[in-house]
Amino acid sequence: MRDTLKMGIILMIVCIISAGALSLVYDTTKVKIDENVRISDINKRKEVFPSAVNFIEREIKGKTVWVGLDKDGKEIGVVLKVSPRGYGGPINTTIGINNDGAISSVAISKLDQSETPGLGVKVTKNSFRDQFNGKKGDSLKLKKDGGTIDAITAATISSRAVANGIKEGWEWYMAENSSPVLDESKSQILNE
Amino acid sequence: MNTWKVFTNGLLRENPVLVILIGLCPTLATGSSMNDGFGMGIAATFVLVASNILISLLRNYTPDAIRLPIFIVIISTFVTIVDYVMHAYMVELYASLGVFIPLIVVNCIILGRAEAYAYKNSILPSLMDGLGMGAGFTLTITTLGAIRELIGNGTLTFLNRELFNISVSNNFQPALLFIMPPGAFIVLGFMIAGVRWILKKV
Repeated sequence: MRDTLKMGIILMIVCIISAGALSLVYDTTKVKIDENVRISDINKRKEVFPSAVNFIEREIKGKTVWVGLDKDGKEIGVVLKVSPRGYGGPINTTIGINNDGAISSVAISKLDQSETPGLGVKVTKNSFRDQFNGKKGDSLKLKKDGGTIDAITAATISSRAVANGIKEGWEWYMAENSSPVLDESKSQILNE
Repeated sequence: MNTWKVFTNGLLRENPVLVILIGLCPTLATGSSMNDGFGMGIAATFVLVASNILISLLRNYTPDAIRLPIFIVIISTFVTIVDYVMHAYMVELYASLGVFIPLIVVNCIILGRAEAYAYKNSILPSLMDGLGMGAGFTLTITTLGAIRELIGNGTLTFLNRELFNISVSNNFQPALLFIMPPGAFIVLGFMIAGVRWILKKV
Protein backbone atom coordinates (compact mmCIF):
# COMPACT_ATOMS: atom_id res chain seq x y z
CA MET A 1 0.00 0.00 0.00
CA ARG A 2 2.72 2.46 0.97
CA ASP A 3 4.64 1.51 -2.16
CA THR A 4 1.64 2.15 -4.37
CA LEU A 5 1.21 5.57 -2.84
CA LYS A 6 4.88 6.36 -3.33
CA MET A 7 4.72 5.36 -7.00
CA GLY A 8 1.66 7.48 -7.53
CA ILE A 9 3.33 10.48 -6.00
CA ILE A 10 6.48 10.04 -8.11
CA LEU A 11 4.42 9.76 -11.25
CA MET A 12 2.44 12.81 -10.25
CA ILE A 13 5.62 14.82 -9.72
CA VAL A 14 6.93 13.78 -13.14
CA CYS A 15 3.64 14.83 -14.71
CA ILE A 16 3.56 18.16 -12.88
CA ILE A 17 7.12 18.98 -13.95
CA SER A 18 6.33 17.99 -17.53
CA ALA A 19 3.12 20.02 -17.63
CA GLY A 20 4.91 23.00 -16.10
CA ALA A 21 7.75 22.84 -18.60
CA LEU A 22 5.29 22.45 -21.44
CA SER A 23 3.16 25.44 -20.49
CA LEU A 24 6.28 27.56 -20.01
CA VAL A 25 7.56 26.67 -23.48
CA TYR A 26 4.08 27.14 -24.95
CA ASP A 27 3.76 30.64 -23.54
CA THR A 28 7.19 31.77 -24.66
CA THR A 29 6.91 30.33 -28.16
CA LYS A 30 3.27 31.31 -28.74
CA VAL A 31 4.17 34.95 -29.34
CA LYS A 32 6.78 34.03 -31.91
CA ILE A 33 4.59 31.41 -33.58
CA ASP A 34 1.71 33.89 -33.93
CA GLU A 35 4.13 36.38 -35.43
CA ASN A 36 5.37 33.76 -37.91
CA VAL A 37 1.81 32.91 -38.88
CA ARG A 38 1.05 36.60 -39.39
CA ILE A 39 4.10 37.06 -41.63
CA SER A 40 3.27 33.99 -43.68
CA ASP A 41 -0.31 35.27 -44.07
CA ILE A 42 1.00 38.54 -45.45
CA ASN A 43 3.33 36.69 -47.80
CA LYS A 44 0.48 34.51 -49.01
CA ARG A 45 -1.68 37.55 -49.75
CA LYS A 46 1.20 38.97 -51.80
CA GLU A 47 1.57 35.62 -53.53
CA VAL A 48 -2.03 35.58 -54.77
CA PHE A 49 -1.91 39.27 -55.81
CA PRO A 50 1.69 40.10 -56.75
CA SER A 51 0.67 43.45 -58.20
CA ALA A 52 -1.01 44.66 -55.00
CA VAL A 53 1.06 46.98 -52.86
CA ASN A 54 -1.29 47.16 -49.91
CA PHE A 55 -4.13 45.21 -48.35
CA ILE A 56 -6.95 46.51 -46.19
CA GLU A 57 -8.89 44.28 -43.88
CA ARG A 58 -12.64 44.19 -44.22
CA GLU A 59 -15.35 42.27 -42.37
CA ILE A 60 -18.19 40.71 -44.30
CA LYS A 61 -20.73 38.95 -42.12
CA GLY A 62 -18.16 38.00 -39.51
CA LYS A 63 -15.63 36.78 -42.03
CA THR A 64 -12.45 38.71 -42.68
CA VAL A 65 -11.37 39.40 -46.23
CA TRP A 66 -8.46 41.49 -47.46
CA VAL A 67 -8.92 43.93 -50.30
CA GLY A 68 -5.85 44.30 -52.48
CA LEU A 69 -4.93 47.81 -53.64
CA ASP A 70 -2.48 48.59 -56.43
CA LYS A 71 0.01 51.44 -56.30
CA ASP A 72 -2.65 53.98 -57.37
CA GLY A 73 -4.89 52.87 -54.51
CA LYS A 74 -7.31 51.16 -56.88
CA GLU A 75 -9.00 47.93 -55.76
CA ILE A 76 -7.75 45.03 -57.83
CA GLY A 77 -9.40 42.16 -56.00
CA VAL A 78 -10.02 40.46 -52.71
CA VAL A 79 -8.24 37.75 -50.71
CA LEU A 80 -10.13 35.30 -48.54
CA LYS A 81 -9.28 32.18 -46.60
CA VAL A 82 -11.12 28.87 -46.50
CA SER A 83 -10.31 25.70 -44.53
CA PRO A 84 -11.95 22.70 -46.19
CA ARG A 85 -11.58 19.28 -44.53
CA GLY A 86 -8.99 17.21 -46.33
CA TYR A 87 -7.86 13.68 -45.70
CA GLY A 88 -5.69 14.50 -42.70
CA GLY A 89 -7.36 17.63 -41.33
CA PRO A 90 -8.22 21.13 -42.50
CA ILE A 91 -6.38 22.53 -45.52
CA ASN A 92 -5.95 26.26 -45.01
CA THR A 93 -6.31 27.74 -48.44
CA THR A 94 -5.76 31.38 -49.40
CA ILE A 95 -7.77 32.45 -52.45
CA GLY A 96 -7.45 35.63 -54.49
CA ILE A 97 -10.50 36.78 -56.49
CA ASN A 98 -10.10 39.38 -59.22
CA ASN A 99 -12.56 42.23 -59.73
CA ASP A 100 -14.10 40.36 -62.66
CA GLY A 101 -14.94 37.44 -60.36
CA ALA A 102 -12.29 35.01 -61.60
CA ILE A 103 -9.77 33.34 -59.27
CA SER A 104 -6.45 35.16 -59.54
CA SER A 105 -4.40 32.57 -57.71
CA VAL A 106 -4.49 30.06 -54.86
CA ALA A 107 -1.87 29.68 -52.10
CA ILE A 108 -1.40 26.64 -49.85
CA SER A 109 1.92 26.19 -48.06
CA LYS A 110 3.17 22.94 -46.58
CA LEU A 111 2.36 24.18 -43.10
CA ASP A 112 -1.26 24.83 -44.04
CA GLN A 113 -2.16 21.17 -44.31
CA SER A 114 -1.53 17.72 -42.88
CA GLU A 115 -2.22 15.55 -45.91
CA THR A 116 -0.45 12.26 -46.64
CA PRO A 117 3.24 12.79 -47.50
CA GLY A 118 3.91 11.89 -51.13
CA LEU A 119 0.23 11.95 -52.10
CA GLY A 120 -2.21 14.52 -50.74
CA VAL A 121 0.62 16.87 -49.92
CA LYS A 122 0.87 17.57 -53.65
CA VAL A 123 -2.06 20.00 -53.35
CA THR A 124 0.62 22.49 -52.29
CA LYS A 125 2.40 22.15 -55.65
CA ASN A 126 2.13 24.84 -58.31
CA SER A 127 1.07 22.30 -60.93
CA PHE A 128 -2.12 21.65 -58.97
CA ARG A 129 -2.82 25.14 -57.63
CA ASP A 130 -2.23 26.97 -60.91
CA GLN A 131 -5.14 25.10 -62.48
CA PHE A 132 -7.54 27.38 -60.62
CA ASN A 133 -6.10 30.59 -62.02
CA GLY A 134 -8.57 32.59 -64.10
CA LYS A 135 -11.48 30.22 -63.46
CA LYS A 136 -14.88 30.75 -61.89
CA GLY A 137 -18.11 28.91 -61.08
CA ASP A 138 -18.53 25.23 -61.90
CA SER A 139 -15.18 25.00 -63.67
CA LEU A 140 -13.61 25.20 -60.18
CA LYS A 141 -14.77 21.62 -59.55
CA LEU A 142 -12.76 18.47 -60.27
CA LYS A 143 -13.11 16.92 -63.72
CA LYS A 144 -14.74 13.89 -62.09
CA ASP A 145 -17.38 16.21 -60.62
CA GLY A 146 -18.05 18.03 -63.89
CA GLY A 147 -15.45 20.78 -63.60
CA THR A 148 -12.06 21.37 -65.21
CA ILE A 149 -9.56 20.63 -62.42
CA ASP A 150 -7.33 17.57 -62.76
CA ALA A 151 -7.25 15.71 -59.45
CA ILE A 152 -3.90 14.49 -58.11
CA THR A 153 -3.50 10.79 -58.85
CA ALA A 154 -4.37 8.70 -55.78
CA ALA A 155 -5.27 11.81 -53.78
CA THR A 156 -8.82 12.51 -54.88
CA ILE A 157 -10.04 13.33 -51.36
CA SER A 158 -7.44 16.06 -50.85
CA SER A 159 -7.92 17.41 -54.37
CA ARG A 160 -11.69 17.45 -54.04
CA ALA A 161 -11.51 19.13 -50.63
CA VAL A 162 -9.41 21.97 -52.02
CA ALA A 163 -11.51 22.37 -55.18
CA ASN A 164 -14.81 22.37 -53.31
CA GLY A 165 -13.40 24.67 -50.61
CA ILE A 166 -12.34 27.17 -53.24
CA LYS A 167 -15.68 26.94 -54.99
CA GLU A 168 -17.59 27.45 -51.74
CA GLY A 169 -15.44 30.44 -50.81
CA TRP A 170 -15.92 31.88 -54.26
CA GLU A 171 -19.71 31.36 -54.16
CA TRP A 172 -19.93 32.89 -50.71
CA TYR A 173 -18.02 35.96 -51.79
CA MET A 174 -19.98 36.33 -55.02
CA ALA A 175 -23.29 36.09 -53.13
CA GLU A 176 -22.20 38.61 -50.52
CA ASN A 177 -20.66 40.88 -53.07
CA SER A 178 -23.90 41.34 -54.98
CA SER A 179 -26.01 41.97 -51.86
CA PRO A 180 -26.56 45.50 -50.55
CA VAL A 181 -25.15 44.51 -47.12
CA LEU A 182 -21.65 44.79 -48.46
CA ASP A 183 -22.16 48.25 -49.95
CA GLU A 184 -23.16 49.51 -46.55
CA SER A 185 -20.11 48.05 -44.83
CA LYS A 186 -17.95 49.29 -47.66
CA SER A 187 -19.01 52.88 -47.21
CA GLN A 188 -18.65 52.56 -43.45
CA ILE A 189 -15.07 51.49 -43.75
CA LEU A 190 -14.28 54.21 -46.24
CA ASN A 191 -15.77 56.82 -43.93
CA GLU A 192 -13.66 55.65 -41.06
CA MET B 1 31.47 -2.68 -25.47
CA ASN B 2 33.25 0.37 -26.80
CA THR B 3 31.21 3.37 -27.80
CA TRP B 4 32.06 3.18 -31.49
CA LYS B 5 30.69 -0.34 -31.62
CA VAL B 6 27.50 0.86 -29.95
CA PHE B 7 27.14 3.38 -32.76
CA THR B 8 27.74 1.02 -35.68
CA ASN B 9 25.46 -1.56 -34.09
CA GLY B 10 22.43 0.50 -35.02
CA LEU B 11 23.45 0.84 -38.65
CA LEU B 12 23.27 -2.79 -39.68
CA ARG B 13 23.60 -5.52 -37.05
CA GLU B 14 20.76 -4.16 -34.93
CA ASN B 15 19.15 -1.85 -37.46
CA PRO B 16 15.89 -0.82 -35.75
CA VAL B 17 13.68 -1.21 -38.80
CA LEU B 18 15.29 -4.02 -40.76
CA VAL B 19 16.50 -6.28 -37.94
CA ILE B 20 14.66 -5.43 -34.71
CA LEU B 21 11.54 -4.60 -36.75
CA ILE B 22 10.34 -1.67 -34.67
CA GLY B 23 9.24 1.79 -35.82
CA LEU B 24 7.62 0.27 -38.90
CA CYS B 25 4.59 2.54 -38.87
CA PRO B 26 6.41 5.85 -39.50
CA THR B 27 8.75 4.05 -41.90
CA LEU B 28 5.89 2.85 -44.06
CA ALA B 29 3.85 6.04 -43.72
CA THR B 30 6.45 8.70 -44.42
CA GLY B 31 8.94 6.79 -46.53
CA SER B 32 7.16 7.60 -49.78
CA SER B 33 9.88 9.92 -51.05
CA MET B 34 13.57 10.29 -50.41
CA ASN B 35 13.04 13.82 -49.17
CA ASP B 36 10.34 12.96 -46.62
CA GLY B 37 12.21 9.87 -45.50
CA PHE B 38 15.32 11.85 -44.75
CA GLY B 39 13.34 14.56 -42.96
CA MET B 40 11.57 12.04 -40.77
CA GLY B 41 14.87 10.29 -40.06
CA ILE B 42 16.63 13.45 -38.94
CA ALA B 43 13.73 14.63 -36.78
CA ALA B 44 13.45 11.20 -35.13
CA THR B 45 17.22 10.97 -34.57
CA PHE B 46 17.23 14.30 -32.81
CA VAL B 47 14.43 13.29 -30.47
CA LEU B 48 15.92 9.84 -29.95
CA VAL B 49 19.33 11.15 -28.88
CA ALA B 50 17.82 13.72 -26.53
CA SER B 51 15.34 11.29 -24.99
CA ASN B 52 18.07 8.65 -24.50
CA ILE B 53 20.20 11.20 -22.64
CA LEU B 54 17.27 12.29 -20.51
CA ILE B 55 16.18 8.75 -19.64
CA SER B 56 19.76 7.76 -18.86
CA LEU B 57 20.13 10.78 -16.54
CA LEU B 58 16.94 9.93 -14.68
CA ARG B 59 17.43 6.16 -14.60
CA ASN B 60 18.52 6.07 -10.96
CA TYR B 61 15.46 8.00 -9.83
CA THR B 62 12.91 6.05 -11.86
CA PRO B 63 11.14 3.25 -9.95
CA ASP B 64 11.12 0.06 -11.97
CA ALA B 65 7.38 -0.58 -11.71
CA ILE B 66 6.31 2.72 -13.24
CA ARG B 67 9.15 3.30 -15.69
CA LEU B 68 6.99 2.97 -18.80
CA PRO B 69 4.46 5.69 -17.95
CA ILE B 70 7.35 7.93 -16.91
CA PHE B 71 9.15 7.30 -20.22
CA ILE B 72 5.99 8.07 -22.15
CA VAL B 73 5.37 11.33 -20.28
CA ILE B 74 8.98 12.43 -20.74
CA ILE B 75 9.11 11.54 -24.43
CA SER B 76 5.80 13.13 -25.37
CA THR B 77 6.60 16.28 -23.40
CA PHE B 78 9.96 16.50 -25.06
CA VAL B 79 8.56 15.99 -28.56
CA THR B 80 5.94 18.68 -28.01
CA ILE B 81 8.61 21.10 -26.77
CA VAL B 82 10.71 20.38 -29.87
CA ASP B 83 7.62 21.01 -31.99
CA TYR B 84 6.92 24.43 -30.40
CA VAL B 85 10.54 25.60 -30.39
CA MET B 86 11.06 24.57 -33.99
CA HIS B 87 7.84 26.28 -35.08
CA ALA B 88 8.85 29.48 -33.32
CA TYR B 89 12.53 29.80 -34.13
CA MET B 90 13.26 27.57 -37.12
CA VAL B 91 10.40 28.27 -39.51
CA GLU B 92 12.19 27.04 -42.65
CA LEU B 93 13.11 23.75 -41.05
CA TYR B 94 9.66 23.41 -39.52
CA ALA B 95 8.06 23.83 -42.93
CA SER B 96 9.74 20.65 -44.10
CA LEU B 97 9.97 18.61 -40.86
CA GLY B 98 6.95 19.93 -38.96
CA VAL B 99 4.53 17.36 -40.29
CA PHE B 100 6.66 14.50 -38.95
CA ILE B 101 7.11 15.69 -35.40
CA PRO B 102 3.73 14.56 -34.03
CA LEU B 103 4.43 11.15 -35.59
CA ILE B 104 7.59 10.80 -33.53
CA VAL B 105 5.63 10.60 -30.28
CA VAL B 106 4.28 7.25 -31.41
CA ASN B 107 7.58 6.09 -32.88
CA CYS B 108 8.26 2.80 -31.17
CA ILE B 109 12.03 3.10 -31.61
CA ILE B 110 12.23 5.90 -29.08
CA LEU B 111 10.37 4.08 -26.32
CA GLY B 112 12.10 0.85 -27.34
CA ARG B 113 15.60 2.28 -26.95
CA ALA B 114 14.68 4.03 -23.71
CA GLU B 115 13.54 0.71 -22.28
CA ALA B 116 16.18 -1.57 -23.81
CA TYR B 117 19.25 0.62 -23.61
CA ALA B 118 19.17 4.07 -22.03
CA TYR B 119 17.49 2.82 -18.85
CA LYS B 120 20.38 0.42 -18.22
CA ASN B 121 23.38 2.44 -19.40
CA SER B 122 25.20 5.65 -18.60
CA ILE B 123 24.94 8.85 -20.62
CA LEU B 124 27.71 8.49 -23.20
CA PRO B 125 26.78 5.00 -24.43
CA SER B 126 23.11 6.05 -24.45
CA LEU B 127 23.97 9.03 -26.62
CA MET B 128 25.93 6.82 -29.02
CA ASP B 129 23.11 4.31 -29.09
CA GLY B 130 20.67 7.11 -29.96
CA LEU B 131 22.94 8.37 -32.73
CA GLY B 132 23.52 4.89 -34.13
CA MET B 133 19.88 3.84 -34.03
CA GLY B 134 18.88 7.22 -35.49
CA ALA B 135 21.42 6.89 -38.29
CA GLY B 136 20.22 3.36 -39.03
CA PHE B 137 16.62 4.53 -39.09
CA THR B 138 17.45 7.52 -41.31
CA LEU B 139 19.47 5.39 -43.72
CA THR B 140 16.73 2.80 -43.99
CA ILE B 141 13.81 5.18 -44.41
CA THR B 142 15.72 7.34 -46.92
CA THR B 143 16.65 4.30 -49.02
CA LEU B 144 13.10 3.01 -48.83
CA GLY B 145 11.79 6.45 -49.83
CA ALA B 146 14.25 6.72 -52.70
CA ILE B 147 13.30 3.34 -54.16
CA ARG B 148 9.58 4.01 -53.83
CA GLU B 149 9.80 7.52 -55.23
CA LEU B 150 11.91 6.41 -58.18
CA ILE B 151 9.57 3.61 -59.22
CA GLY B 152 6.32 5.20 -58.13
CA ASN B 153 6.85 8.78 -59.23
CA GLY B 154 9.89 8.76 -61.49
CA THR B 155 11.71 11.37 -59.43
CA LEU B 156 14.24 11.68 -56.63
CA THR B 157 13.98 14.62 -54.26
CA PHE B 158 16.44 15.41 -51.52
CA LEU B 159 16.52 18.41 -49.18
CA ASN B 160 13.49 19.80 -51.07
CA ARG B 161 15.39 19.78 -54.35
CA GLU B 162 14.67 17.55 -57.30
CA LEU B 163 17.82 15.61 -58.10
CA PHE B 164 16.52 13.46 -60.83
CA ASN B 165 13.42 13.16 -62.97
CA ILE B 166 12.81 10.41 -65.48
CA SER B 167 9.13 11.12 -65.95
CA VAL B 168 9.86 14.00 -68.37
CA SER B 169 11.93 11.93 -70.77
CA ASN B 170 11.54 8.45 -72.30
CA ASN B 171 7.78 8.12 -71.84
CA PHE B 172 8.16 6.73 -68.32
CA GLN B 173 4.97 5.45 -66.68
CA PRO B 174 5.32 5.50 -62.88
CA ALA B 175 4.00 2.48 -61.00
CA LEU B 176 1.73 4.27 -58.56
CA LEU B 177 1.47 1.19 -56.35
CA PHE B 178 4.92 1.93 -54.94
CA ILE B 179 3.90 5.31 -53.54
CA MET B 180 0.93 3.70 -51.83
CA PRO B 181 1.07 1.52 -48.67
CA PRO B 182 1.33 -1.87 -50.46
CA GLY B 183 4.43 -0.61 -52.26
CA ALA B 184 5.99 0.21 -48.90
CA PHE B 185 5.48 -3.35 -47.68
CA ILE B 186 6.88 -4.86 -50.87
CA VAL B 187 10.03 -2.72 -50.88
CA LEU B 188 10.53 -3.16 -47.12
CA GLY B 189 10.24 -6.92 -47.51
CA PHE B 190 13.01 -6.96 -50.10
CA MET B 191 15.16 -4.70 -47.93
CA ILE B 192 14.74 -6.96 -44.88
CA ALA B 193 15.61 -10.00 -46.97
CA GLY B 194 18.66 -8.17 -48.35
CA VAL B 195 19.93 -7.26 -44.90
CA ARG B 196 19.39 -10.82 -43.61
CA TRP B 197 21.40 -12.10 -46.54
CA ILE B 198 24.25 -9.64 -45.91
CA LEU B 199 24.32 -10.46 -42.19
CA LYS B 200 24.56 -14.17 -42.92
CA LYS B 201 27.51 -13.61 -45.25
CA VAL B 202 29.48 -11.44 -42.84
